Amino acid sequence: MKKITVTAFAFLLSLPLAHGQLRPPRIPKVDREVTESQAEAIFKTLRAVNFEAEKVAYPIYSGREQVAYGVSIGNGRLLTKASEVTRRIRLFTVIEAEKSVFCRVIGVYPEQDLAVLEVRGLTAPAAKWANGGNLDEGAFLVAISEGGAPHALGVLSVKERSLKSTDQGFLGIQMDATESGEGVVVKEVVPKSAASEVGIRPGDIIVSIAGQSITGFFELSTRLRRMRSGEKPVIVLKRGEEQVKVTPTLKGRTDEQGTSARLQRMDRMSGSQSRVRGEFANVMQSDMELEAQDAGMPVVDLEGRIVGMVIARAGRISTLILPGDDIADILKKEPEVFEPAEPRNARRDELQRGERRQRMQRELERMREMMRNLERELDRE
Amino acid sequence: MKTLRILTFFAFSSHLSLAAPLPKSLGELRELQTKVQKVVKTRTAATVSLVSTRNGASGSGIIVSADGLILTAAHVIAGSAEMTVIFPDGRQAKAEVLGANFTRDAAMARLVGEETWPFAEIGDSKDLAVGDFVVAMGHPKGYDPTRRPPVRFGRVMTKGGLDFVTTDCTLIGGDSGGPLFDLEGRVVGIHSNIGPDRQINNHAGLAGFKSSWDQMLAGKSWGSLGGDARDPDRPVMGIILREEDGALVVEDVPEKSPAAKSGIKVGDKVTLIGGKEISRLAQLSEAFADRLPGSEVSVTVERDGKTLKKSVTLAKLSDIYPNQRR
Repeated sequence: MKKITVTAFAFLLSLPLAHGQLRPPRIPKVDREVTESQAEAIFKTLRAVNFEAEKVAYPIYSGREQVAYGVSIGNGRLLTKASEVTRRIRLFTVIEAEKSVFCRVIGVYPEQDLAVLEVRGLTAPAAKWANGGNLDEGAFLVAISEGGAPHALGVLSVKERSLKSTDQGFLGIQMDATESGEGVVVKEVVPKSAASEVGIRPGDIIVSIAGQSITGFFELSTRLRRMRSGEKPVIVLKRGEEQVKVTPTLKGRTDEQGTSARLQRMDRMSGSQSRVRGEFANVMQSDMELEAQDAGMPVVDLEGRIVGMVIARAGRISTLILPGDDIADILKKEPEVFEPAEPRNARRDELQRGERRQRMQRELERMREMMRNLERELDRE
Repeated sequence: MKTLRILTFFAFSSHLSLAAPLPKSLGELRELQTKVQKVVKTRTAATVSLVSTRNGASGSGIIVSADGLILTAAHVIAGSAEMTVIFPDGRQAKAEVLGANFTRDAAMARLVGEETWPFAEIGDSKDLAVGDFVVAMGHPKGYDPTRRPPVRFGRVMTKGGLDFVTTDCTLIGGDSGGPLFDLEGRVVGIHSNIGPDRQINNHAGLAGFKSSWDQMLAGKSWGSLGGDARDPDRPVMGIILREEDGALVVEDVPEKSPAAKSGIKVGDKVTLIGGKEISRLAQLSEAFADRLPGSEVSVTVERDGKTLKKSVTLAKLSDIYPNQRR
């Protein structure tokens, strides 16, 4: 479908103005004290919950840098986010009383960006995965770090869904987004698409789909994107004076939805993001505030059940969580064997450059954070 | 040991006497969760995406009456006469733009068509205190058929001028114009802008909507975000004021200005504008945020120990200083 649906549009939210009288507010010391002690008290209350995740969360380090978390899956193994560990060297974690032990990647589930680590001497019990699919939006979720400590509190922002655009029904027509009224006029037909296969032509007016009448671009695009590729909806068209019925077999969407530069800026300025953060087949979305290196933390609900694992920090408003029951299913299958490719020189150089760049970016982020803290301190003076 | 414990307890509780709500047990947290979920369940259908039919820019809005009145942000409707309204279930409709107070980033539109629309009740941002729990919804990054409006939960971090409210409910582009709810599901703010800090997400408070309600409903549009002093359409009395000993003193009254016509003179001390006490220059933008050029405002001044009440017909800044450019 036409890219205009997202890419060409502006998404409105102002950044604070430099001119005029509206300046980005600083939170006054007295207010900050109220919310900080409130947060402390809430986390203390959360601590009292007997989380099943008490002994299953482990930080993973590469050299001196903490890069991810892992959840114990029994037999001395941790489950973690693959893209944060597979290109790293000297991975280790800390078990029992500050004892650090090396970890080795022994397998991967590339579809879900998961990796299995072998940790010698780890005797932690396997996490008991619970079903996150029955939680209602607005349910409280807590990310857990080592020792069962509540690390971040958020809510379930969006229930389980697929982020894979190839899962969404694609008809292959372009329409005018501003148009609404009886039916939608086809502007163009994508060659070799579901639409072209059944002979839909420019100028046709789509009147209904799967028995439901259509009064505009957004209605039609919503119906289509909520169908799966392979579905065969009956579409009624008006072609001149004629009424034509067609039954296309929908294909998967292929056009990548770009993100505007403004939105990217808003996401980037709001903390770190995971490199792999899209195209998951089934994830929950939460507003819990985490950083990229927190991926792999177990997530519990207020009943203490482990309902998922953080799989990505995806921007200012979004943390993505793999549902617990999905993880349980995935773990029933053997992971793919992971072979750390002996890097040829050119490739190794490239990897090292990439890592150096990342380190520098992290360092920059840390310095920014320090500056923000200093600014706050200044406010308090 | 016992004394010590009591002491710490006292210190702790007095520290929190500013009354931020504190769930002290798991049970209280569960109650809080139930309230948040109820807000989501009952308010999702009224949380709409708004797309400009002029340029395709998209923001959010909240329906606040059964006959389809929509509250949104002024910068969402800017320049459009009509908006496409997309409901969370994918249904679409049309809304006509009514008025906007750009100073407060507040605006109204009305759904076209005689239907009973889903809506949320309105509350008041005046009742909010720092630490109060709030729920934000909207259509971040535009309408997305694969999900309903994402829920964000947070607290009031601080309250600013012009009835703006700052929360840690994280927002991003496309959320603008979307609703901030209290735990009873009443609309208390409309998403406006953000700072780089994730704890700084700003909402136009409902108190500001209420004070400019009738004028917006009547189709008036005025102001500029935050009250730009150089806005040529800004309503002015035509006096230059200075702060002196905790009072506002008239320093100059240009000839032919509305203030001069009403008899305000150099040296007068301005004490009330529109019946509200005023003593600092910073209060002026607040005092004029809901007024339009051409409207009358009562101004009380003190002169030689006497109190005089004057009525001033406001002019535009450009009427008094025609050569000033932005």
